[in-house]
Amino acid sequence: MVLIFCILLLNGWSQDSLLDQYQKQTLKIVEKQFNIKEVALKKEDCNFGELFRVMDKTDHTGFILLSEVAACNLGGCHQYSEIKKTYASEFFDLLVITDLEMNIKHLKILNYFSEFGYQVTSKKYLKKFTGKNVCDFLDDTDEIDIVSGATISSYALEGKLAQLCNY
Amino acid sequence: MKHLKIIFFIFSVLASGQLFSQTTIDFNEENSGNLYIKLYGHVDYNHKIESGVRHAGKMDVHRLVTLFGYQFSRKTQFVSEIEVEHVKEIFIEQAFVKHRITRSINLKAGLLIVPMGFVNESHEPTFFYSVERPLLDKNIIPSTWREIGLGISGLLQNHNLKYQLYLVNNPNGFDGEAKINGAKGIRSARQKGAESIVTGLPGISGQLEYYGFENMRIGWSTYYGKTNTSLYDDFDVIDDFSTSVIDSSTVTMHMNTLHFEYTSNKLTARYQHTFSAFRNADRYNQFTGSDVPELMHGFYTLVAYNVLNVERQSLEPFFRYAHLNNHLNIPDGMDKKDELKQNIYTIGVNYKPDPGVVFKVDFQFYERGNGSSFQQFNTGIGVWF
Repeated sequence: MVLIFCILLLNGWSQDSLLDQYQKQTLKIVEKQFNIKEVALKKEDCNFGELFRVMDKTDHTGFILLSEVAACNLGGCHQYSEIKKTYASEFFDLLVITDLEMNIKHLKILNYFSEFGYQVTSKKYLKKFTGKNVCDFLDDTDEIDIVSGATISSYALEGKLAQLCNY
Repeated sequence: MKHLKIIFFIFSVLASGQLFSQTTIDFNEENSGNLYIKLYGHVDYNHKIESGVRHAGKMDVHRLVTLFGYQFSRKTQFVSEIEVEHVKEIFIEQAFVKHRITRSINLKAGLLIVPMGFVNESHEPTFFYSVERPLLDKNIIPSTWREIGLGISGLLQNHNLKYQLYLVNNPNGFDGEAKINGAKGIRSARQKGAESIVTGLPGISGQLEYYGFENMRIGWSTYYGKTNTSLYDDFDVIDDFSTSVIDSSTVTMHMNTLHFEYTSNKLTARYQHTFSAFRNADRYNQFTGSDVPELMHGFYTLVAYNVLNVERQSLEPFFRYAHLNNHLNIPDGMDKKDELKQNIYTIGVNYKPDPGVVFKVDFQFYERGNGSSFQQFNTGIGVWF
């Protein structure tokens, strides 16, 4: 443990990284989803979040993405076209776990900041994504209805999955 | 060392120091925060139609509200709304700071909207269906009801719950004359954060909303507080007499609202029911000559259906039935005003050529407990962007 700590320290573990913030929670979910006891994460180059390969010893078994998603803006929201990752946006922190083919194994909103559109955090709604491929969200034919009251956040979530497809 | 079951393999990126590099937004001193501006408003036309009586129609730029927000950091923001009503009246609707303490607790302080039912918080014209806000959300819930205070809010994600809990300043029930009455409840007593007086403990305001059922949300809002009074300054001696007189100019209000909404792709159904109880109403009425009841209530149920299959557009005929009885229970010896018991049937259409623009038209039938009735034609446009 000391060794791991030292290695992480030397590598500039950022206090602000999403993995740092949600490390315990993320690893617990990854262990459960992949049914593995020794989880290793290999960081990938990614400009829309923190993307890792999930390794079971030396075998690559899937991916996890931790990402901020720009959602409702200050004071409420109604227009998807307004969503831009600006400093004036509010966010939610998203965890996506996929297999090697980018089929979604698990989706979790780790932290939802806005007081609007929070219905997107509903477990029932997020479960609908399980088994879908992230590339299903490149267009509007993903067959998952936008959650009522959270249109913008739903679109933002699907937009993030589409980004993962393009990776 | 069971924790060692989780081993972080440090791959080639280790050497480059890129592992776990930061990808979150960096709110450093150079780029921290940003201003955000939004706006909503509506322009209305109302025309009352009553048998044997001539009423002029009324056109009005009802309200135009500009929102200025500032995001200081990922966790801290300021939100304000400046409202111009009827072209000439300027108010502040909200002005609060929100700071995230933990994942499920936000601290809020400033001029806060009291969470009560649907419309008091979600009062943009693209949310509610009729041209005018439902009467329940005017004459029992005095939307937009806001007072200065502080409290906490947040999501309990594991339980699909949103909560809000605030301490806010109470309405001012007496300002040389009665500010509370049967017809409009506490509407005229709102202090709106404008040099508001404080003569007692703050009111407690809370709301719980459950969103775990698909396409559905159910909420309960409550408010409990004793109204303020300007008589406080008229007595510089604290004795039984002055205390008794001051007490006679206040009421203790307990308001509860249940709201329910179901929304699918095409269908929207809403139900809201509010009870507002007033303790000390008899003494208040004797002192001020007002007609405050012990209990008033109102509810409405609404159904709307989108008949368009066009993306980002909707055409929604709707029907709403509302019932209000502002004199449900009255103090002994007071005359019940039958005209405060009313049924309102509203039938209309909302057309949104874009989610942020709405054209509205509706027709309302009012039936009152005293046998009188009238109709009202309303039309208007609303925007929210």
